[in-house]
Amino acid sequence: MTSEPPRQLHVAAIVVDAVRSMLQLVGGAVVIAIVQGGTPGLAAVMAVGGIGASGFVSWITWRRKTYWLDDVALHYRSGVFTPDEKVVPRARVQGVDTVTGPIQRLFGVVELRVQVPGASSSDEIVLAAVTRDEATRLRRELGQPEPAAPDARIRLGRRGLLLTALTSPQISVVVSAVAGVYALFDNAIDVEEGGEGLLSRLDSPGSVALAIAVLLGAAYVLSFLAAIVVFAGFEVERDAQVLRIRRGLLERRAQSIPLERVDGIVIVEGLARGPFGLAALRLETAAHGGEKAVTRTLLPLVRRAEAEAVIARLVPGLAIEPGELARPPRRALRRFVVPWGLGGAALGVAPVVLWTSAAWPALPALALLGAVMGLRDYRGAGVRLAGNVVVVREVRIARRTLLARRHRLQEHALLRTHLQARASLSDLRVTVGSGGKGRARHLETATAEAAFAALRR
Amino acid sequence: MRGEPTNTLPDGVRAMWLCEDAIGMLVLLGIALGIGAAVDALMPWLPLVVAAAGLAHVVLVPRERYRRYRWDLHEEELELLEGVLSVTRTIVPITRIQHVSVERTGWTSVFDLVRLSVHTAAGETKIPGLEPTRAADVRDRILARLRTPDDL
Repeated sequence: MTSEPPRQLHVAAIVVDAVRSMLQLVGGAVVIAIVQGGTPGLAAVMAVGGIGASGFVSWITWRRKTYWLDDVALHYRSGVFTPDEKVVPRARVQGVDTVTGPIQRLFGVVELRVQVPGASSSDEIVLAAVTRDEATRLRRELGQPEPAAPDARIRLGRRGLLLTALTSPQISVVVSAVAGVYALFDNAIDVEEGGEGLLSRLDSPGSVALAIAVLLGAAYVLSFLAAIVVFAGFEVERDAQVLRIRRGLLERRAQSIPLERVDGIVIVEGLARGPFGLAALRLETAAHGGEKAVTRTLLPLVRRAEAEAVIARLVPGLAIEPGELARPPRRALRRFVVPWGLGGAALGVAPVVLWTSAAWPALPALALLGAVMGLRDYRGAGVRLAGNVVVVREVRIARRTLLARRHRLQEHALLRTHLQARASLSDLRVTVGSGGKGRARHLETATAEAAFAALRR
Repeated sequence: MRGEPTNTLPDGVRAMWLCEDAIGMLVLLGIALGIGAAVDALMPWLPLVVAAAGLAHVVLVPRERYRRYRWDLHEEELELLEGVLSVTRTIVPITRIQHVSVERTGWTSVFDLVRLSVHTAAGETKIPGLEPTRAADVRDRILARLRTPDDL
């Protein structure tokens, strides 16, 4: 067996690493200084100390990081006191992604991520800085085909980007972030003024409503900006074998996914997009299990009516003829509406119990909203076998249509509760390589069983 | 539709589930007694209710679960049928299996059982208890049918 000598990462890796840990350290130091009521001087001293320490640590760890290729695998060794060696067999490499952040761009290098199958992103090998030539060499060695002339290409134009950001689905994440920041500041002011926190000044329904509106507004702006940064310059192209996705403003990412490794695609119609007939396309592959939704984006914005046609262009293996899904029967309607309605009512009870009885209108309002969601769920649910593709649709908050290649399903199951059995209804669930599931609920048992049987080989 | 799977679990599994559920119920009862002692007169009936429900659960559930569990290893797939009030019938294609593990813990060996667990890219699926020789046989049959695991 031949093995090349161990190689080190480009020195830019030190800077990348140092800046990363510095951002955490400096942020922490400043917060501590403010909360403890320290002077700006102390904060500055702590910040400088943090910079020095993280630089030193990054240099030490850089010296101990090596990687090398042999006939069968890529090896990566890291760690100062207890070196850790990751070995990825060449045949198992699912894709080689590159990330070019501001620092990498400054040094003319790229970060290389070697994708491996598995549910955890910590299994992949990340080479924080290698030269472009080295990246090309590694890519070739790891069996990643060179880009050919693309057969299909879709760009997200300026208008598309704007629409994506306006209907960005990450609002919920940002709301919690803003709430966290708010709580922090609330605390800080509380300590400094020795007075009461902002929260306790919210004594009238008007001020509460205003606070919530401000919070949501801020969340929306942040979400908008985040989406612009992440999806700017989005383009996806396909040649005979590989899908390539490029995106990002500050940090430019290039992903390549072999077509044969695509298990399925989910058409996601979020609450903000559905009403406008818009959706996002998300990839299901074994390599991207457990990763953030944004990493699995095939296309952040597509017209719902064109989704199937776009999928057929980008992943021909998932092309299907137009057709209708087998839907739950009429008698299943209440099984969708009642649980959703009760869920809404339970949410509505909370403010009445916890806060004030004047909030009682929340109860019927949320129960009604729940029932409407249930109706939406009922109208959306269904399953369809179309040649080599199985289509499963369900509504959680967003309406999700999973198109999966039948022969790549990891598992499929027929589920029936006691109550469903009495009404001869059943659920059908399919599981794809990322661990993602699609579940068509309350189907006619005969329909579900027929689909279940057809999915066996 | 093809018939349901036919293999049942060995007797030891029923005993194991009975013991597991009994221990779980004793723990719950302990908590209920603790609450009853801490907030007296609030819910003096709580330990009684927990004891009654626990007894009913231990008498009924493990036995029914055991009675209904079925599994089968077909030419191309592993099939499981499980559950009492909510029944799940699962198919795992053998070509999707990445590895198989036979797990023996102190607890399972009390009942002279092992757990068989098959791993796919999406997660793992378990047969809760098998005789060791049977498990080894099933494992070998799965491995024999697995072709090169290149294609995930």
